[in-house]
Amino acid sequence: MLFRYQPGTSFLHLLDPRTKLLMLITVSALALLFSSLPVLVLLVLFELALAGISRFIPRFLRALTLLSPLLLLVIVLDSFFSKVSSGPVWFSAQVWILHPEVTTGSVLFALSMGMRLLALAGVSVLFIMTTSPDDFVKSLRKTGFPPMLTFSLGYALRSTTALTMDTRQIMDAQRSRGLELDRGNLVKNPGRLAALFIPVTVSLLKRSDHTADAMQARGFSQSGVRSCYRSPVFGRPDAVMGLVLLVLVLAAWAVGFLFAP
Amino acid sequence: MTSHDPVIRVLDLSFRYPTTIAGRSITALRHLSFMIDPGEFVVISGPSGSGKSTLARCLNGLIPHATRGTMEGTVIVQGTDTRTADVPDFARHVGMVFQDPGYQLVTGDVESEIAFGLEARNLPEEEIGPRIDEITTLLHIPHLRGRTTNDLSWGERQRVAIASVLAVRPSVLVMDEPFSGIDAPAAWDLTALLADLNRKAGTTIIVLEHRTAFLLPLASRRIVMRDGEIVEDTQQDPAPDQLHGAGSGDPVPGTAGSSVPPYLSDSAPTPSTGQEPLPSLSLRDVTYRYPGSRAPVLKGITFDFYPGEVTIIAGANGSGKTTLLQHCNGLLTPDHGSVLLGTEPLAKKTVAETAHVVGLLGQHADYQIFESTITDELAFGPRNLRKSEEEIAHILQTTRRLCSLDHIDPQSPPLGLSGGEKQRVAVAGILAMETPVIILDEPTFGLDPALKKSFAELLRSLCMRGKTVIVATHDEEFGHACGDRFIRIAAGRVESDERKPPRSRCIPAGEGDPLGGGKPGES
Repeated sequence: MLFRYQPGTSFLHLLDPRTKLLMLITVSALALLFSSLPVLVLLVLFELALAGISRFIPRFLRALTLLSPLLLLVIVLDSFFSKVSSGPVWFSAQVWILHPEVTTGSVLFALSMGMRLLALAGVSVLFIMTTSPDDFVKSLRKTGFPPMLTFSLGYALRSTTALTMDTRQIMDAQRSRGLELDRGNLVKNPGRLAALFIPVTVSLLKRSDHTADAMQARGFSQSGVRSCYRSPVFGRPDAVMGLVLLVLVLAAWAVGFLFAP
Repeated sequence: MTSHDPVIRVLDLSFRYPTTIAGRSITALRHLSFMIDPGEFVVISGPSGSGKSTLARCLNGLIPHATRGTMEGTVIVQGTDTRTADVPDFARHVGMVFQDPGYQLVTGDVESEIAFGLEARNLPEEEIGPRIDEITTLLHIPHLRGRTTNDLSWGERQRVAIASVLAVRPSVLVMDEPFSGIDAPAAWDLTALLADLNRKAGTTIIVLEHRTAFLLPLASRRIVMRDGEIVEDTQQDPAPDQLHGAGSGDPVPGTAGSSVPPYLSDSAPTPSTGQEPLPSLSLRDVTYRYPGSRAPVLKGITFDFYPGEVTIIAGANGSGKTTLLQHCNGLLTPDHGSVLLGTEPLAKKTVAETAHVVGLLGQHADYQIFESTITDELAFGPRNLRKSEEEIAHILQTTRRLCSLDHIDPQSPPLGLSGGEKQRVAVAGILAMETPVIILDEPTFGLDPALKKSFAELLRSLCMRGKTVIVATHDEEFGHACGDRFIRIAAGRVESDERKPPRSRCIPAGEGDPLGGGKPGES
């Protein structure tokens, strides 16, 4: 699983989840605000640098390659069908009501859209891979979000794992009793999916029911004030990151200004 | 209120669950009245389905607030009527350990789990840390701190659940079958801990449990329930000194501890009856490591399992029992080594193909049951094995009788049954496949002593019909009642592998009387 939290002790891991949230928001905002290629390249380079000091460039790149089909699609479509057209025309045609045209301007535009996608995806991958859902929820709780909201978020994040585990357990039980799930096509036999869907749903409902009971029995109430054990605290890495983000914003602005058409 | 007022007062309590789709309405409790004084140590026992779990839910307000059904009568806890206050309000007085550890863990990692109740009490952070230290030390689980709850074994989860409730130091502790799924040393530890809490901290303890052997010496009172009524309520003098003696005088030779009783041969690779020389299932040097973890769970395990033999596999929580069993029908494939069915390697077959030979029942009845009626549930396996409908009808009749399910309407939904009943349905679902090899992982969960006894006899009769039976269990009494061979694994290796002397093993003697094999444990 590439898009999942990977425990570690790197610089990014040490950051407070809130700092990383700020990083996520800042980089995403910059990527959406600027459409000039140099700024977007700068953002992607920044992400590569972060991945570099946290020593997971290979994993980071592998996660991003999963995006390559989408990336290719964006670049090709934007090259042919973008509204931007300037410079020499490389290709032009009229197909029915469509009018694909490739110009230097449209290629540049397509490239920057690709970079924007990379920058957005990259920063999200960095966030997800280095932030444990539990810590993230804790930091939100400390910031003063209502417990019901933060708990629901945490539970939702975790229940994907619970759902996978429940599904696997039930499938194991069914296979052990002779239901063939290893051979043949699942799509060709929708009965199999139904056979799985119902018990998994039942088990999920049951789980949430039991969990709600267990939580109440241990004093959790919607209105109650809760303390927070091991709440994240801002430290020196967070200050460094804050500064770096400020520099990044200024740099993006400067670069955007410098290369403004 | 003074300390002499009862901490729990139950007056004419009745509870009826809503009518199920199948039209079955279950009255779980009938006109119960009793009081519990502070500092009492109460053991409530009774057969499965007698209403123990329902009663537990009445003691902290889950009934009537969170469970659907009709409640009559009054329950007063620490001076407050459970109708007037909500469940979280009772949490500071009543700590509740539920039957199923899988469902009561509410956070992602062990520390957060233990901290959960303390956070709900708004304890400052500096106090929470020491409390976690204290309770993990008491329950011998400091090594579990920092683990995520998802990759804990059943027994480990059970202990984390207990820790997370005890950390809050409730004045009343209610535990619904806390001993299911934890190994004997842990069970003794827990018993000692309960005795300590009761004597030193004055905690009122109410345990609803079948496995009363651990508890009865310590209990000050014993309540027996049947069909939602109290049939026996006796005060007794707790005898705390018995605790020590009881721990060492283990009733089951060969399964606990490493001391080998003299009459057990220390290794016997083939059964000495000389009748069935060919193993039905063999593991050869099986090594397995879960993806992502560093240390292997199984390290070079080699076994032969023979027809006509009941093998009991024991071992501490997390020692690899379940992993071992999952290799026996191909749910897991060994990293090294191989598994053989007779002489054929298992690796070439899918799990479903292997199901013709090996019936494996996993650990958790809720995951083993997935059909909407008991009939469909039991027929699931045989239908997959392409048996004819007449054959299936016949099999179903037999298995329902064998698993004491006759009294339950076969058209009722299995997931609505009580814990013990569900477990029996799950077992019946495997037996209905009529496979020569039967593998059961913790099958006695939720079964009361009477049902366990008949279940042990059932396994004996299966073994006498030449089936290979392999059971992983913590329940030593049960293992002793039906086992021929005792394997103990520790940290992924075989620690001991012993057989009972041949004369007590099942030699197909009484052909005409399949259940007449007596009680093998007694020889």
